[in-house]
Amino acid sequence: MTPLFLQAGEDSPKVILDPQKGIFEISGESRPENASHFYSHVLKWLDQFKTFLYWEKKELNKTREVVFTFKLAYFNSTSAKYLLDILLLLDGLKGEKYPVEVNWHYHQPDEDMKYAGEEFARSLSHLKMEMIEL
Amino acid sequence: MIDPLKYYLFLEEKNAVFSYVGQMHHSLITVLVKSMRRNLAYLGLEYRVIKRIFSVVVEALENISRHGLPEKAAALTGQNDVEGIFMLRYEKDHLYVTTGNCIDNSVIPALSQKFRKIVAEQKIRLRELYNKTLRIAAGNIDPAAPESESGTGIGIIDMALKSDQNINYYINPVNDSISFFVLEVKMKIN
Repeated sequence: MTPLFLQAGEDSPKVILDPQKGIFEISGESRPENASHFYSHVLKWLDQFKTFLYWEKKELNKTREVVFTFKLAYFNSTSAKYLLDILLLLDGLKGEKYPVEVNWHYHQPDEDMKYAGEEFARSLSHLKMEMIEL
Repeated sequence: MIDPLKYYLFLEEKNAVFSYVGQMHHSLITVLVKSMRRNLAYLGLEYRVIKRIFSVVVEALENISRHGLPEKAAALTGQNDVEGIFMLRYEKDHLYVTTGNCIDNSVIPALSQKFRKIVAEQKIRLRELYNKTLRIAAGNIDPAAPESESGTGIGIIDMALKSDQNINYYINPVNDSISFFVLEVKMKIN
């Protein structure tokens, strides 16, 4: 499956979704001018990846571990909605017994970012988010 | 009747550390907040405090960008580039984030109700409201949808949480159709 790379902009995060290398990461600051448009690329890719995982399990009897990493320094309230969309998609996969993990990184003095991760976690049914202090 | 430019000049006479009057489009906001963040670092504020102020300012300015009425402001002031005002000022152990923009009078009842609810809510309930609002918004993916429809209310709740609910608003009637809306968020800095 073709990976998705989005370079970090002044107001948009860096996105690496690379199944071959096993890297799934969103990092940096997120307040893109059109968050809906920006995250539609990510969500569309993840939806295709989900279909790929279904196929892989059914046809190859194989499941791969997915470790999704968030290393966000800042995100605005509009981005929060799309980050939750991503987490809910991953949560759905976990609910279907796929080995998905989420690591939420935050800088030590940034209690708000830790709290934001914990609040996201409260909306999830299956995933446990690992809080990692940088 | 209030004139946005005169109000800006009135505020600027106070202890302003950053002030701006003009357009509020995305790329300009990016420049403003970048410059503001640098100024706050010069003041020697903690990273955590700067981050909170940054968050509040971004939400406040993006609100103007989404809901401001630049044409009405232009008609009022006789100038084309007065979409909103933005100011940071010191007062003892607090920093005040003040923004202002023209609003349509028809939105006042809903806006006032939203603010009253947010200010009166207990903090724990406010957090629940944030999560609930976010969960409602999540899943409504429409790339063509305006940003204003995708994050309604979350920004105001976020500002309230980050300021320990020290968030106030003032509505100054201009004429039968528009008012000048002032948002003031008080942030503890020590």
